[in-house]
Amino acid sequence: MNKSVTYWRLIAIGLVVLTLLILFPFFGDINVNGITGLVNNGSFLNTLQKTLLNAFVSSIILATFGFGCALILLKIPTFSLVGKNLAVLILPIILGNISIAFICKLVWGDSIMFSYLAQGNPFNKLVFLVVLNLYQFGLLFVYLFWMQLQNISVEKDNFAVANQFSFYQKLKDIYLPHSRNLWLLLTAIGFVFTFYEESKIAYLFKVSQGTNSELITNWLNRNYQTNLLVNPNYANRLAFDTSTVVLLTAIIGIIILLLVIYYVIKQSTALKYYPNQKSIEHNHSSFQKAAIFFGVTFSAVAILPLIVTLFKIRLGFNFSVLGFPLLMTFIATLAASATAIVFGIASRLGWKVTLSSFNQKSLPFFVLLFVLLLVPPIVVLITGYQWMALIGYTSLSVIYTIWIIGHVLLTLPVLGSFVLFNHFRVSILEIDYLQVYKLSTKETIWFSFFSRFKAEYLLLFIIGYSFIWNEAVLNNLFSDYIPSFVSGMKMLITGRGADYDKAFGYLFVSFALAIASVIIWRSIIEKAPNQLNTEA
Amino acid sequence: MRKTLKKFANVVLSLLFLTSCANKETKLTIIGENSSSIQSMQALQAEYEKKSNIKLDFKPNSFEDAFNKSNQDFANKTGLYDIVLQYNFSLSSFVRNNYVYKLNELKAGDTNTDYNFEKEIFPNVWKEVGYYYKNPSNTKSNESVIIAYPFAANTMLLVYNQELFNNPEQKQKYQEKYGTPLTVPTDLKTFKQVAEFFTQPEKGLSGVCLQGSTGGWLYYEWCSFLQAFDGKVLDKTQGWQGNANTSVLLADEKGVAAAEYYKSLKPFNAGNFVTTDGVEQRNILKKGKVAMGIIWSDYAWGLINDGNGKIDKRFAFATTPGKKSMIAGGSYFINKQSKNKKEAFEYITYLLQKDTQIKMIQQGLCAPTKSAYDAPAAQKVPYVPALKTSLLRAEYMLEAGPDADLINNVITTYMQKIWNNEIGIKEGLNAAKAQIEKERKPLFQ
Repeated sequence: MNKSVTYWRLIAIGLVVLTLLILFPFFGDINVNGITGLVNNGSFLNTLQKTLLNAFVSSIILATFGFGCALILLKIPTFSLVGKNLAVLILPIILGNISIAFICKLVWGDSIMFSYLAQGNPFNKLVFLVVLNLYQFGLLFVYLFWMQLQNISVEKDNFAVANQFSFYQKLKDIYLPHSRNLWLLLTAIGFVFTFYEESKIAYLFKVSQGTNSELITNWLNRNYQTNLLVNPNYANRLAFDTSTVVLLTAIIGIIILLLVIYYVIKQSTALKYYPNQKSIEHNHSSFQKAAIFFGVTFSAVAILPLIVTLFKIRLGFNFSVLGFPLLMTFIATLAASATAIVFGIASRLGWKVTLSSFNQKSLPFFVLLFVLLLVPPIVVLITGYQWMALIGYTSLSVIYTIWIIGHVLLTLPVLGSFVLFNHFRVSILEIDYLQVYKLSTKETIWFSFFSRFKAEYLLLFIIGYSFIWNEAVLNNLFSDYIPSFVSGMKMLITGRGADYDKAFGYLFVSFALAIASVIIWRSIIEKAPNQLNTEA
Repeated sequence: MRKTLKKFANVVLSLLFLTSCANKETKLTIIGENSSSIQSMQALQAEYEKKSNIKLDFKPNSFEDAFNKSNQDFANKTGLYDIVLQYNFSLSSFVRNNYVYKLNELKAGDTNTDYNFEKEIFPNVWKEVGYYYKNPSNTKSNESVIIAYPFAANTMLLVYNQELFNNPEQKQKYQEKYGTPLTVPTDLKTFKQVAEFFTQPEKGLSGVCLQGSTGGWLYYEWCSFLQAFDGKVLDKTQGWQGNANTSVLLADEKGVAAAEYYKSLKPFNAGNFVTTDGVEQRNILKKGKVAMGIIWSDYAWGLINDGNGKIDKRFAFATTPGKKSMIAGGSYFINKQSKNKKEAFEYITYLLQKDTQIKMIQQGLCAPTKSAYDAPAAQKVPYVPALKTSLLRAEYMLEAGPDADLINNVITTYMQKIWNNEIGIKEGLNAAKAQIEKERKPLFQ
């Protein structure tokens, strides 16, 4: 192993270790006796089981929806008018959980359907939650799969046309293998976010044990509040014990899920069965029309709830309140994106074979990276308090710095894996070539990464900004110093200080951010057709 | 590009530096739930800062956040908050864990302050939200000491839509149907009758809007009905009293009667019940299609005030049906880690002066001092007369020990199941009682 490889590995490992260090107070305080007591807790086990099942099913539905719809949109060229405007599909993810819940309440809150769901059984509520997640995550997944499929090389496409491939053949031999890595990444992301779903279901349906509608985060939060009345140490201890079981379940769950997806795709693509079907190219024109119709429809679905909500908004809010957190989020996103890129480059160059794709060898690496995401939010909150007790709230500069570092580390699993996924496109041969010709570090980074992934890095920044802006734990911890969008919004739509006029102001900012992100991303696509098109 | 980035970095660093160089003047940091209580304090911020030369830094949070942050601040001894506004169920934890100063510790050495306001504080309210066992490790002795002054005296009120109650056609119909004039209900029988009468689906009207949501809404509201039946959840005389062996009375005949009565209101109820919290109830009432609701007194301000000083005159207020009202509210707790103990205490005593209290009532506070309610300016607030009457007759009803949240959750769980016909009334209450008896014991450490 040469020195530069060791150097890259040290950077990547250092960042992962630093990230996991956040959890040090958690790991240190786990009590095995407390964990064994949970075996007899029926309400806990029932809620955990329901949450796991929901996360499993939802993440598969989300990824399947994304892939399926991307296939429908396949005939829309990236740089056509509709193709460029499909950027609007990233809009819902930028809005974030609490805004989407509030929009849903404003748009459907008074409807008979909502009333039926609210008073109905928990299954219907979870189905509705899946629909909301299809809006929030599903549309993004459609866009990411569609972009991925657009990158299929011209040679492969021509080969398929020349050999009159049926749709089934193309699906099995081209589309699925080409998008396997993205399938795994998006399923994992879908699993994490649905497993720890909290605010949408809590706000819309006021989840409770009485209606059997709680998910595990609701359960953990409720019990933590109950135990706080004894004292915080008691509450922390019980929360850590319970969270250990939840974390282990989530880790096992995500490993099983990834293995299932991996083997299903592997087996499907390995099948030698080719039914006699007509080539789809005969119907090219009608397929393209259908694709455009669905593309316009999906775009309309992404934007319609915003338009309906805008008609209901009355603005009574001082926007300057959010100026400072917007600036701080920008700084934190810059830092987080830069760290994720460094991590992505270091990992790719440090493990050129292992991290060339999602596979059995790279699975432990990704699971380790995802551990922080799989930790229950209540643990992150408590450990945040404990770290701050150690570090101290000595000055605002210290608080701001810790807030930024915290976001850099908390976003590393998602942003880092997104970068790593994109870096799969830097082939092993290319890395070998760079090493043989002894290119400098600067040249390597520039030629193989920066010059190639400009657009992806910008998308990373946009997603990162949305994550940090809508993050609920760290922002909540520091909300007395850096006003938090989520905490502020929550305070204005629930509780004694609820004030919808002010909440509309928050929502308006959320809309403006989402729309600005779409516009920026769209302008990048417009300016960089060659760059996006050449990657296969 | 580089120059732009450099400029941007300079601007950011300067901003961070400037914001971190805050003045070193005395500052009191106050945390509490974002409510009319803390908002009424904020309304007088400029006046007090000018008078005292002390800076006030308010940290209004959602209930959960204020609760978590203050508890973590106490436990970690970070001393972030000088004054914590918390409700009565936190009192027990704060005293047992020695997080806050007792009143006698704060008064020691202070000879200048005029404490005349103390005799104006509703004694029943003060005893419920600001007292605790003299010796917390001996809960068999009922000897208590004053821990803190109350910041708010809350209770539940009956709100009714005057437009519907004063409608001549409705009045006539009611007289014809029941043989008595339509009046604001003062007892449970009339309450149900009026709720039944106003349930007119053809006109889109409902009789009542109940709060069936988790988060304390259902528990508190149902306890208000339990109180009207003279029932109790636990066998004690103050919310903060009790120990691991306190008897659970929940499932006795009074509890059953209260649950039967509550469920009998189901046909007259507006909204989705299990999703209806205080905010949702307020939104439903504002639509003008519901005759009555039982609301928290500190929600009344938000119901009638549009945020621009305009009062919605459709709503009027009365005491809850029955002969008693419940006590809630909370106290000003001064953090033992505070570096400004004296200034914090001075500020609290300023807030409790009669003139200040009158001003705060006009900003939505449910004031803990009696005489402030009689001021003509305070009397103009529509719910003030009903609030004072309620507070004068108010008694302990809600749990405030370390088991308070557990009891709240268990009762909510089983009342929701009862409402949804998933379990019988007696069976549900017995199951709730059994669960409370089992799970509350470990909480008394």
